[in-house]
Amino acid sequence: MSALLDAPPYGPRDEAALLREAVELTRKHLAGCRDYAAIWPDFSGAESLEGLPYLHVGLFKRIAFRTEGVKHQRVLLSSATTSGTSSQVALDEVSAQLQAKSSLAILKDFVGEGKRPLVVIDDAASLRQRGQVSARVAAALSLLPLATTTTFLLKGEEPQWSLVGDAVRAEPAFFVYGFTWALWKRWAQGGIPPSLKELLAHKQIHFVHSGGWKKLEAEAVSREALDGALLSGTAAGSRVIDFYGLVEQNGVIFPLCEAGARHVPRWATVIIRDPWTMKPAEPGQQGLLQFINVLAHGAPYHSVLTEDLGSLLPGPCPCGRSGPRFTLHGRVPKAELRGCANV
Amino acid sequence: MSNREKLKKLILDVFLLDESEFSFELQRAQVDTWDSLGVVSLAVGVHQTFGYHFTPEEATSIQSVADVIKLLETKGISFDA
Repeated sequence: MSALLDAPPYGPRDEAALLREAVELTRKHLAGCRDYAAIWPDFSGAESLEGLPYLHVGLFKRIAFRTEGVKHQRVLLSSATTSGTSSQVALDEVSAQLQAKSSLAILKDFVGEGKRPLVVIDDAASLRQRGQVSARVAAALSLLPLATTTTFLLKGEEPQWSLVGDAVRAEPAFFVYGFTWALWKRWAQGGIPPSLKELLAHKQIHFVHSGGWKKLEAEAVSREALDGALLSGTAAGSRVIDFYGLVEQNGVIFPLCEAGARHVPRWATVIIRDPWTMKPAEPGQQGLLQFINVLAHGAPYHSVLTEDLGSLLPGPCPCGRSGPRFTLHGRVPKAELRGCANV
Repeated sequence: MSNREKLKKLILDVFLLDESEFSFELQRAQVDTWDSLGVVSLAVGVHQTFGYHFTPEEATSIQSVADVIKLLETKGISFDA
């Protein structure tokens, strides 16, 4: 278990420990995963995080990477893509514990410690998959340690509003999690019955969403419109938290802070690479996002190059969190429309 | 449908079991889909079927179908044949 997770996510960073653990993890995957070793046969060490090998996220659609010597569990699947192929990430016991600890620490930093009911904008049937778990479900379950009860809103296509009423009636506050698109369609525009609306007006609701904006952009729905629609008719203190993540970086999520930045926890880092040279970009320069974390033991998804563009933000963040932070500019033009990256 | 029948249907649905794999003596260790995700799925299913929300501690402590029955009976849900 990484000691890096024993401190708060945005506290002082120990870059030497992060590099040491990332190099160890790289060696472990090279020794235990033939597909990975075939891609990076000559790795002998790295003196900086920028020098670590990485895998392009697209490879996870083509190769079922799996490192031997750990107990694998389910396979985590990204949501559907235009090509119809999902990324596959082999989950294992050790990583699952680390990833749960990581996402919980990050979420707590944004929503506080208090437990409350969780409403998931999904069908409980999506929990029932042999040997697999979808990105949507995995993202919802990252809130589970903060949930007193869990209610799935949908049965097939039908919202079960009475279940929501039952779950939150006696509570002053609760969480709602959904993919960004689902939150808009099923909640903001979902036709909440007037009696439930009346109840919700007295509830503090933390809406948490992930999965990207492509579908909403296509309908010209802005962040302001989504947030406004969600928060309208809720009690003071309600808020909307949008987080970015990838199935290939499971456990490390990047909620948007109050100042519009995405912060990197101390057990991970972000590198911006010039898309033409692949060299680390200058501060402020836009480039491809590469993420590194020390949570991935079941397969070599500890260092991945994404198809997303972003840039590092300089100086301290007004929100008070420390460590590297970035802004997300969107996907590389002409990159495949990947399934929502969310965990 | 009796509560025993409802529970059987729920267990089959939640853990993707064939009818032949089910018994009221079924243990968690015998079901490969009764992992941490299965625990959540069972808790959600019990709420939808019987109207009772397991606490997280209750949900993780359950090790068999008999445990589900025992727990729900303490909440006033009867499983008499």
